[in-house]
This record gives sequence, structure tokens and C-alpha cells, in this order.
Amino acid sequence: MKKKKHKKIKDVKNMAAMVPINVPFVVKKSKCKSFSEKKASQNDIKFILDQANKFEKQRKKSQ
Amino acid sequence: MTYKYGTEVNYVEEIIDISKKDYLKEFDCKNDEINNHIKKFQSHISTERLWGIFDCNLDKLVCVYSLKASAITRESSDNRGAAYDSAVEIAIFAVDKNYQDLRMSDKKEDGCLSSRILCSVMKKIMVMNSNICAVEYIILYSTKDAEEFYKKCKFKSFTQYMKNRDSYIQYCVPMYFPICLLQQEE
Repeated sequence: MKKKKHKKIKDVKNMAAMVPINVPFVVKKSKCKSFSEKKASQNDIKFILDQANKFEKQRKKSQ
Repeated sequence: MTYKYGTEVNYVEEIIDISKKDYLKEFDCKNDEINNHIKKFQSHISTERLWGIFDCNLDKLVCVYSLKASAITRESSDNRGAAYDSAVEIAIFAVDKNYQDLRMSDKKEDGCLSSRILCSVMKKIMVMNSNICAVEYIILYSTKDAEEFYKKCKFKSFTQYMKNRDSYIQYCVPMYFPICLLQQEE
């Protein structure tokens, strides 16, 4: 039983490097409320769009 | 030829099909597991779509990424079953070692090429959410080493919310980003 558990972890370690691992994201019951309340801030969205737009501008320049 | 800044790179973005397989052989993101996964990729039989950012000056592959449909499950407190929030998972995001940490300028706030590419992928998903199909979250599994990089791109750790997955997430960090509708001009 112990050996089996070890193997499972090792397999996950091998896959964990952003290779699809198919472990679902499940929110604990006790955390559902606080999770639902988390929203992206406008500053975060602005940062992402700003970076992305600069990158797209560079791509257009490349063409 | 080496670059001083990421702004010097001329690039195109294309799906990696069978004609571009040779680019994958030379690709090295310094992580053996990701390298192996990418090198084994066979576009003609896989259901996975790999996108590539190609350096037109040096004819090299800069970045590989893939997306897949997913969800975040919220358990119901009143036993009425679970609720699902739609998500897009960044299943792979890997930058070649020669382009990692390549800054865009001397200014810290300009960031690096890798973060700009990731932000452009995130924007793609946000545009899809606004125009085609509702998506509430972007999710991914990060390596421990890359956690700070994703945090700089505004991802948050999902670990505190994750139910009974300790053994699975021992070597990686589940992360998420809640998205919203974009204004038309964006």
C-alpha cells in the first residue's frame, strides 16, 4: 500500500511540470464563499492588456 | 546572434503542425519533463493544439503553449451537487532557454519577453470570453520554480482552496486568474 502511494506521487512529479495532469480544480466547501468573492482587479486586467498590446504591436511591426 | 532586449525579436505565431516538427527537436526550456512531452508531440494524431511563437530572425522556436477547456468545481454546501465554473487551462507554457529572462528594456516595469507572451495568451482568452464563449477563469499548474513568474502575471495560488489533493500538488502549484468582460475597444 505504501509502495503504491509512493509510485503515485512519483508519477505526478513527472507530469507536474505543466504537462497536462488532469487533476481537477475542486474548491473545498468551507472555502466556496471566499473563492467566489475573488475577482480580478481593474489594475490586474490593465496590466495584462497593456503587456499583451505591446507584444501585439511588436508582432505587427515584424510583419 | 544574441539579443540584448526582447524588442529586437521579430516573430510570428502559428499552430505547430507536422511541417514544423523539426523546430520541436531543438527546443529546450531547461525542464526535461516539458521538453520530453513537447518532443513526443505528434500533431497529426494528437487532439492537443500546440501553438508556437517563432523568431523570424534566427528561425527558432521561442515559445510553445497549448490551451484546453476545463472547469473549477465548487462543492455545494446543501448537498445539491456541485457547481462548475468554466475555465480555460493553459496546459503547456514553455519558453526556450535562450529567450527566458530576456528583458524588454532597461526599465523594470517593461518586464520580460516571457511575461509579454503569457499576457498575450491571457488576452486571447479574455477576448474569447467577451466575443465567443463565456469563460470565468484561466487556470494552470505551475512548477515550483515558475510560481513567482505566474504571480507577476497576476495569477493567484489555488492551493488554499484545493480539496484533498495534497499528494497531487506536492510538486506543482495550481493557480488561477478570474477574468471579466472586456470593453469593445480592448
